Amino acid sequence: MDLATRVGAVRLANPVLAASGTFGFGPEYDGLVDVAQLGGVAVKGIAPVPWRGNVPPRVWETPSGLLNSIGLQNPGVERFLAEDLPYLRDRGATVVVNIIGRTRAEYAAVARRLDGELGVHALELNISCPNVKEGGIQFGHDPAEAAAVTRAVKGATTLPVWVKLSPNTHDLPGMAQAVAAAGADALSAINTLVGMAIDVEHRRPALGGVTGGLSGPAIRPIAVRAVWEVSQAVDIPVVGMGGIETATDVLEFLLAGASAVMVGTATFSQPGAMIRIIQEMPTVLARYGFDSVRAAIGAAHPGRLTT
Amino acid sequence: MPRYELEVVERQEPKPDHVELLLDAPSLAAALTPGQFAHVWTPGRLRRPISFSRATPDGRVGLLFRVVGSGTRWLADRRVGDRLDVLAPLGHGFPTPETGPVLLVGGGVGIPPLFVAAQRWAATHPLSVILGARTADAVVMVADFQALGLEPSISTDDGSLGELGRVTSPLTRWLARNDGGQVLACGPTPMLAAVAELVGDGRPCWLAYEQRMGCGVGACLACVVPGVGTDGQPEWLRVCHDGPVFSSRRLWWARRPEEA
Ligand SMILES: Cc1cc2nc3c(=O)[nH]c(=O)nc-3n(C[C@H](O)[C@H](O)[C@H](O)COP(=O)(O)OP(=O)(O)OC[C@H]3O[C@@H](n4cnc5c(N)ncnc54)[C@H](O)[C@@H]3O)c2cc1C
Ligand SMILES: Cc1cc2nc3c(=O)[nH]c(=O)nc-3n(C[C@H](O)[C@H](O)[C@H](O)COP(=O)(O)O)c2cc1C
Ligand code: FES
Repeated sequence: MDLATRVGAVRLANPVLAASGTFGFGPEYDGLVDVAQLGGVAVKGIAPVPWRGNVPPRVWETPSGLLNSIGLQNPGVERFLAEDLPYLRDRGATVVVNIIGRTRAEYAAVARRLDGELGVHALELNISCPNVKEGGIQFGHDPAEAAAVTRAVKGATTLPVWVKLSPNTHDLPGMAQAVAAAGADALSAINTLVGMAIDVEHRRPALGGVTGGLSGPAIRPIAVRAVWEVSQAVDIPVVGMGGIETATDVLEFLLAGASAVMVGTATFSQPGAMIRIIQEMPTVLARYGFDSVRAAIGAAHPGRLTT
Repeated sequence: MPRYELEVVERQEPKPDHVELLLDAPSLAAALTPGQFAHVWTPGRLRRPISFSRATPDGRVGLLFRVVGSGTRWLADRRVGDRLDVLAPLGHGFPTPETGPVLLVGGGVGIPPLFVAAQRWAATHPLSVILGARTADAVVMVADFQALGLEPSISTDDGSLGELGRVTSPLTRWLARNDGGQVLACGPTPMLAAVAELVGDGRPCWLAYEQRMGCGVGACLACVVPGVGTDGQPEWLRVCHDGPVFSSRRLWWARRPEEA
């Protein structure tokens, strides 16, 4: 069974990548997940300088989901390059660096610094994090802003640029078209949805950041819808994510139009989930009549119905 | 850190709403540092962190927990023969104490990791034990300490067992009686802050903390507590990976009990 796929110029041995923010920089799962077996690893969002993130508590379990308000705590690009990237590079992992900034210039600065760094295969622009007050999500709400930051990053790097979309917006296809026109090489969909829980016992918001991002199976139908809409609105590839836990879930995203997927929250409960999914992909693809991952991409789209 | 599927070989209810599961795990029992924990699979999106409560010579480890919500209720329903999916041993436990007297201070479900410390160091160090909780029904493992030849000083908020009041009274007496020595503590954050304040800077003081966790292995940055960086500036420490045991010198709350 051929599990290979590509996201634009980036060739992946299989379609399953670790989602940003849920897999650290790789060594945390040493002994549990061999990063070389993954399609790739999207690392935690990286800014030009270290960010402190939000006050704890930073996670809260919800029905079929998880709320988090990490707030993009990160070591900054210099420490990332010196201390974190080598582990992934030495093991031959395909690395997608998720980048964040408070201004267009900050995004561009990280992109420029990463340009030409051995072991970095693509950038993923996080314009969609619901957990920071400035930057991040405000780019994700306004197509003109999103296009401008995409253009700024494209101008600062030769690396492929994936733009990660927020579901917290009313016109996802419009947003997708705006960043595609600005030069994005691919789209990632989706980031978390804004949510909130109250700690009833202590009579206060459950998260230190008050609101947080909802992930996990609770958001899967929203993510599938997003991939479905976006993949038909643009010609560039889409990387799908949101609540994936099984190989059948991966197939659902492929059929909806994703060229690859990311797995996040599932890793917390089952660190081996990504490896198990990759091992089960051949059986699941064969069961539903596919002889490769590529054959399944977008196979549920109108006009592609073959049975 | 490996993942294990461990068989429950014994189940006890030492107090109302408290369950201890003994798991068959020879390699864990041999490798464990007191204060290390297991991230235990329960239904839902997140595992539950539980400290090890004992490591026996015949290759068993214990998890002793209070039933407080859905995850611990599910765990309490496990029976002999069931298997638990655990990531372990996680985190940094208590360092081997220097020579001299050692005081263990445990509050409620903070008591179990200190019993592992007692098992490990009763033969090599002069140990004293102070246990506290709100009521007698939450003071666990007293007989276990006694079986090691240790006689815990007990205090409860309602006076239903031992002395009426907090662990701070017996702690103050121990500090007055012993010039040097070191203190290892685990319990609710306000208790840990009070312990750190009373012990002060003169002697080593190690505190085992709790925080809500995602991954349990250092990857997600969920489980942070405020620490003091080497430059004196605040920095986040990950309970799962940098802790759960910290020197009181590194913890912001412990340095500033009024902010706890
Ligand atoms: C390092 C460490 C060691 C621990 N050791 C023990 C132990 O030996 N015995 C014991 O009884 N308890 C221990 N706890 C607390 C234990 O993790 C919680 O009581 C348990 O997670 C509650 O789960 P629940 O689903 O029953 O409760 P719920 O309140 O339904 O849990 C909801 C969510 O909050 C989290 N949560 C709730 N309370 C706590 C807490 N106090 N600390 C961290 N997360 C919490 C849960 O993990 C879960 O993600 C420890 C916590 C940590 C961090
Ligand atoms: C704890 C946590 C931290 C995250 N951090 C980031 C981040 O730094 N950058 C980013 O683009 N997305 C981040 N995400 C979003 C995930 O990458 C992913 O888009 C989302 O969780 C949906 O996938 P899932 O349901 O499989 O987790 C984070 C998610 C979680 C749960
Ligand atoms: S729980 Fe993920 S870093 Fe500690």
